[in-house]
Amino acid sequence: MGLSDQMQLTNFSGDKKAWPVYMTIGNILSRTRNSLAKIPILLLALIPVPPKFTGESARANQAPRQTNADTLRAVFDLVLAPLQLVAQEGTVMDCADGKTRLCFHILSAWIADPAEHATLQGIGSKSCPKCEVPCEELGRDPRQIYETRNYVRYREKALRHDPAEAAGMAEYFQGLGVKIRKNVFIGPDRVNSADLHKPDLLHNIYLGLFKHMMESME
Amino acid sequence: MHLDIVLSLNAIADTASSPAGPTFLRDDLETMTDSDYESDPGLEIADIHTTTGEIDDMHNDSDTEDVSRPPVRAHPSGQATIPGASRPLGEVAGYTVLNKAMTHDPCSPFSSEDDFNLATWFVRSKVPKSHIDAYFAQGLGDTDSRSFRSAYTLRQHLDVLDPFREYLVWAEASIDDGRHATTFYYPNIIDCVRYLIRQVGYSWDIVYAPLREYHLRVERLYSKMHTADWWWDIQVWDRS
Repeated sequence: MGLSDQMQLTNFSGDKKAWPVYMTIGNILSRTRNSLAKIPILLLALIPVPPKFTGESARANQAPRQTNADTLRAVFDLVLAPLQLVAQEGTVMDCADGKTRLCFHILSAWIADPAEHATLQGIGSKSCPKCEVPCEELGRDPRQIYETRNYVRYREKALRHDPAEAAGMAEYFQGLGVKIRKNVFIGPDRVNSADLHKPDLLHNIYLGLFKHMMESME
Repeated sequence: MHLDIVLSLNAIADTASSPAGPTFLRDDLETMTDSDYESDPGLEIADIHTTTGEIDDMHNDSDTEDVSRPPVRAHPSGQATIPGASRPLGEVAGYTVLNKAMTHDPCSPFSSEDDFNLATWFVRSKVPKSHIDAYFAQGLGDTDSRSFRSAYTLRQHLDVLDPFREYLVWAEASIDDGRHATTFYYPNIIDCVRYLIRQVGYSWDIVYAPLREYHLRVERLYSKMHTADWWWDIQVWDRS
């Protein structure tokens, strides 16, 4: 399991940010995993925070945005690379009960707020990381079922498209709420990027209910 | 676009070069009669161990639940496991010796409970090293009977409590995107897993295999990650 969140450190001294990434394992039951005193969550990396954009227009910022996205993907590729080696064949590990077992390490969940998911999964800020629901249809019909996102297919489609169809391709991905080449979870084997997002009580239930109730009262 | 990553340490260890384990089997391992679900010893382990065919049949049982029915609040009356999952391969070398001090002397490596409590207070109160040294220098602590007399010796004692800390070695990497060169640090994620999964302090709260729990042996119960579907599905994943 991975966890991450950007946090603002200063506002008037250069807008400093920290971007920690943590990890833990699902084998630990939640009552211990959620205990800060038992330190079951380890710091995995402090992601380099890119400098602020200096371009005067969105078009001028496009190149540095892609550079930042490539840098982010390179960092995640590096940090998650060891998982690739053991996801298929496994590795023998010493366990807490004094036994050795063959373990397969597979990224199962990424605990983060929606804004962080949008950054890491390379989707729009109002897009769903799990399915292809258009942002204007969010919250409309709960019985409507949308197709699950397939980020690998997105990448293959982006890599193989004809340069002459670049405009149509950009429009296609824009309709899906996907930003091309910006998902950091495509690399690890046996990982379904759409499955990493796990709804949590705070961001997906309480805040959603609060917003819904406020709109009803108005 | 230029991206260049320079590793100054041997960060990504070849974890696959660890002692080779047996091939992962799904169907022909022996059926286990016990479970690693030790967090609730009162659970009755039912005799509904599944075969592969049964796994497929039960795969989507959660989709057919009657959503209008009130939630069931009950202890599971039945459990299903994957035969052979979590099977130990052997014993950890030196496990008994490693944990002997912890099991025989709860205050180890401190010489007394009083020492242990003082060290606990220093740590939890986040007392700076300089203040710990000043505490002993001014004779506030009974230094003759203490097993530690400075922040340095306290740190040595704390290091004994964490014998696997060598797993958490940080590697350094430099990323150059053509405009800026940035250095960042990270540990090997597999070594982090090694560190966590062998912590004796977690031993009662670690599970090694997925589990399916049932109320009245019919209704599926979901309570923890290992009782949900993801782990079960990935565990029986067919490598072919």
